[in-house]
Amino acid sequence: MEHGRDDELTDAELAAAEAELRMLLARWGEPQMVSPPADLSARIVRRLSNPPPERWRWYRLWPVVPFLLVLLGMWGLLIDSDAPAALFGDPETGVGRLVLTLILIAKPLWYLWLAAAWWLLPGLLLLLSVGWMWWRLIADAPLAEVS
Amino acid sequence: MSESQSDEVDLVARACNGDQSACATIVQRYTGVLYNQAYRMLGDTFEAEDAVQEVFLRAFRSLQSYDPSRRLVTWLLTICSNYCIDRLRRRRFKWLTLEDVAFWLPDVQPGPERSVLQRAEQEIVQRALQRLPENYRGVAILRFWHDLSYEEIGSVLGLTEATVKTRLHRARKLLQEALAAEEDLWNTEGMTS
Repeated sequence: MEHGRDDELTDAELAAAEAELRMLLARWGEPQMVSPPADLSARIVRRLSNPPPERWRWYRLWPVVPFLLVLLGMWGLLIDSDAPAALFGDPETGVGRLVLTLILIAKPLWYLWLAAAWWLLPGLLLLLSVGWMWWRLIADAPLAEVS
Repeated sequence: MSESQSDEVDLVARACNGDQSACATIVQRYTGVLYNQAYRMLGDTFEAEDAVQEVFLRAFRSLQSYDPSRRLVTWLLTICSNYCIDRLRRRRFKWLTLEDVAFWLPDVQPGPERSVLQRAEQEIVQRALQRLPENYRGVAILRFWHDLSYEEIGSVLGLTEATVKTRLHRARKLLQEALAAEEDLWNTEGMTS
């Protein structure tokens, strides 16, 4: 779109076209620098000299959480259904019971997945590729085309 | 290396060593340029203020990576342009607020004073700029408002000089069309009010 023959101007033509636009802008009192608020520099300097104290944030642990969940799930699915549930208390009540229920629900789904993985995996990959391509198209489109 | 450039390198070196007055000098010297860039790109004064603060925070965080062979202003404008483009892209996925809608509505308030008229005229250019796709808006602002050379614009936006020239040529055409459209709107409103 931007590399057409029409766009290849000589330096003199370029300068003339620029001068023309500068004249047009001048009719509207531009280009002119807009003054920032008088206290903006002072606010920025204050913010830079008093950076917010570095606090421990729990969300930094988020990459570990799925890994732990997967480990726990694999333990429940492949080794022993009761043991992971027992970590959270009595498997007959409360959170322990909930974990045991989740493991028992997951077991048939897991075996179904193992049986169907040979065609589910390519399908999933295809879905992810299409989603990624759609996202790139949206992200790279110039604003005017979107609006 | 010119005198002003060696002064910049000295300022950056002092800022890297934790000299607060050097940081303050950098902020005072470049707030105006960055504010203009952000305001022209984003079209909103509050967002521009926010952007300038964020750009300085990012710049001071990565001051060690500043290449002294470049002008400090072009390095800061690079960070500012990238930040504004990111912000514009994120804006696509946000719902419009009533204030956003009000920004696009024609102003029905009459303005008899010259300063008001002047402001309204500049608003027209600002609105015309906002009609440009972000790629073209960026080069136009850097060329016409910051008077950067093609090479410097290329360095700020990570483009070759040939691409800068092409984009600038296209931006000029689009800006002329947008200004003509805004002028028509301005004349129509002038006649009806």
